Amino acid sequence: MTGQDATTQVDSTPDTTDEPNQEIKEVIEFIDKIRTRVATVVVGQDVVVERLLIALFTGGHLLLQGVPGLAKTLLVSVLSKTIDLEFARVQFTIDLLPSDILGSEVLDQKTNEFRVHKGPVFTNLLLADEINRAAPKVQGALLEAMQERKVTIGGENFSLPAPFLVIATQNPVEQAGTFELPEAQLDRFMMLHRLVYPKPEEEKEILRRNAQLGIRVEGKGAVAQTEFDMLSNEPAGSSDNLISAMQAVQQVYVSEAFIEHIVEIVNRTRNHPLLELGCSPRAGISLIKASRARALIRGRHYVVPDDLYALAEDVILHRIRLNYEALADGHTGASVLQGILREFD
Amino acid sequence: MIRISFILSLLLILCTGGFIPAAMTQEGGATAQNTTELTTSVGFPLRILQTKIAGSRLIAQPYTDRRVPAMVRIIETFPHGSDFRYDIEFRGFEPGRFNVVDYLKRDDDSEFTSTPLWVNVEPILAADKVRPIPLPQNESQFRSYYIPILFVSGIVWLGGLLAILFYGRGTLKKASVITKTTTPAEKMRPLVDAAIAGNLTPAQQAELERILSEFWSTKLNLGHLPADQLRSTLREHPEATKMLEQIDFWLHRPAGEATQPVDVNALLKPYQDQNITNASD
Repeated sequence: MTGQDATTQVDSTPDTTDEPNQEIKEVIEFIDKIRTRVATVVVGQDVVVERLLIALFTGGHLLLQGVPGLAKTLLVSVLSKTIDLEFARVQFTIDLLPSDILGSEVLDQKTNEFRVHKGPVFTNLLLADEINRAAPKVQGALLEAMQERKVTIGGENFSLPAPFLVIATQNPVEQAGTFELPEAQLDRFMMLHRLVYPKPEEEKEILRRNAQLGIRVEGKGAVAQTEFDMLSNEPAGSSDNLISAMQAVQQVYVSEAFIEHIVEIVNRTRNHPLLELGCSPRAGISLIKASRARALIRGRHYVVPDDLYALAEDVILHRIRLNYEALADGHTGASVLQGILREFD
Repeated sequence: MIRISFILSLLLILCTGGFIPAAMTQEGGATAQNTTELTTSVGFPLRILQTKIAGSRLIAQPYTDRRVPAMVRIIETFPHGSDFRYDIEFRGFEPGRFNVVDYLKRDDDSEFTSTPLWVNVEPILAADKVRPIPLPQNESQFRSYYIPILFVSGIVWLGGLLAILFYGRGTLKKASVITKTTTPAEKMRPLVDAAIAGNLTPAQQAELERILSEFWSTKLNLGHLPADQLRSTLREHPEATKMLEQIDFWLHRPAGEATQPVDVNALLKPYQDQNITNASD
């Protein structure tokens, strides 16, 4: 992330000087509670929290790209507990099978009948850790479930619970023994956010907090406590709050001029001389959805181009592919995208 | 009877100095004449298999001098009591009669003498045929024009290269001239006029908004910033933020919501007379 969001903290105070209406006020209170709760265990990463909320409020899926140890799992875990959502984590490995995620039919020896054993995908928040380590058929099975929000086990269809949000992670460094997600599958993620290391001040705070974690006595011994032990099980909001937030996102006004901005940017990616693959219509839809959620999080009931520009990298960058000439000339996806966003002709 | 013939054979072997060429094979069509005098052709290898030679192990003389007219290679050595049997390959490079034994030596460098093993190397070509008959060559017109064609092709290639280099540069120069003249201020002027006249489509409104951002970016020297940082920087600038807020009210808020309707004329008037110089200030 080269943009402002990566380097500065997200200002959670409303962007607008207008007094927001009651519905938006309640949603902002709910968001503040989530942020406060997350801040008790996670230092910094405000942009990621915002992206998680955007994904949650819009029902889009999020792919987090970053090296291990940036509190991805902790973030998702605290978010699920804060909103009282079910949470499951699957560590993707090369020998994982689709049935390990989706579920399968097992023979009940007492009744001599097959019964359905639902897999970890039947949850509200699914953390697919290192998704690029699994074989393509497993990735395909999960991405199909993400798209259709239903799973077929033994010829029977099962709807996934609502909300259903997949937060997948991938490590950009270790590429040996991984299966890179093809563009068509990446397109199903509403956003791909590139995590960055915490700033020095944040890192100091992380170390200070970690030094105070202490131990937990268990039976005859004791174990060192982790940040996960600090998570409060008391939710800061209910599913009703979440539904209200989702409804409020749908009420955020999108102007014709804003739609024109999106169409123009999407078209530029399709006709750019340095790009082999441009954005799909899904990119435009995702941009509008994400912009609406960002506007709401920032206390606005209308979107402005600032939302679009702030989210463009996360929404567009994983959907475009540079051509050979661009790669040979040393261009990067981010630099080409910035050129597209800054073009005024 | 069998025993007598065996004893006679043994005596014969001993008489010939313990030398038994057991089998001869040849490659390349040469034929073995008899057990003691062998024949091959120039350059064709002759294999003499399972040849027993008394004494310690033999090795081939290293072929270090190209003027030596024959070469011997020991393919494989087999123990045979206190002696050895050998698979030998002989190759003559000149016609003549050669003793294979001359091209062998003891592995332990001890003195080596043995019954000669003669090989006749015969030429395949007749004595008056020093060189092979030349192949008939089809004289074509292309062959006669080959050099001129090569020359013309070279000129065409060079011409193409120069055209690409110079035409390409010319196009680049033209493009840079066009880019220089297309400033935000120039692009903005017709759109501002249309906006003041109330004739802007949503697409043009969006374009005007982008150009206004770029106009301020040029004015404040913020061309290096990514798009999102540019917007947030403009939001912090006292003049630019007023313009952005007004545009938000004009273009992005639900209709009729603004507490104070935006005066598009007043908003865009300052940009109507902007020129290239101002834009780059």
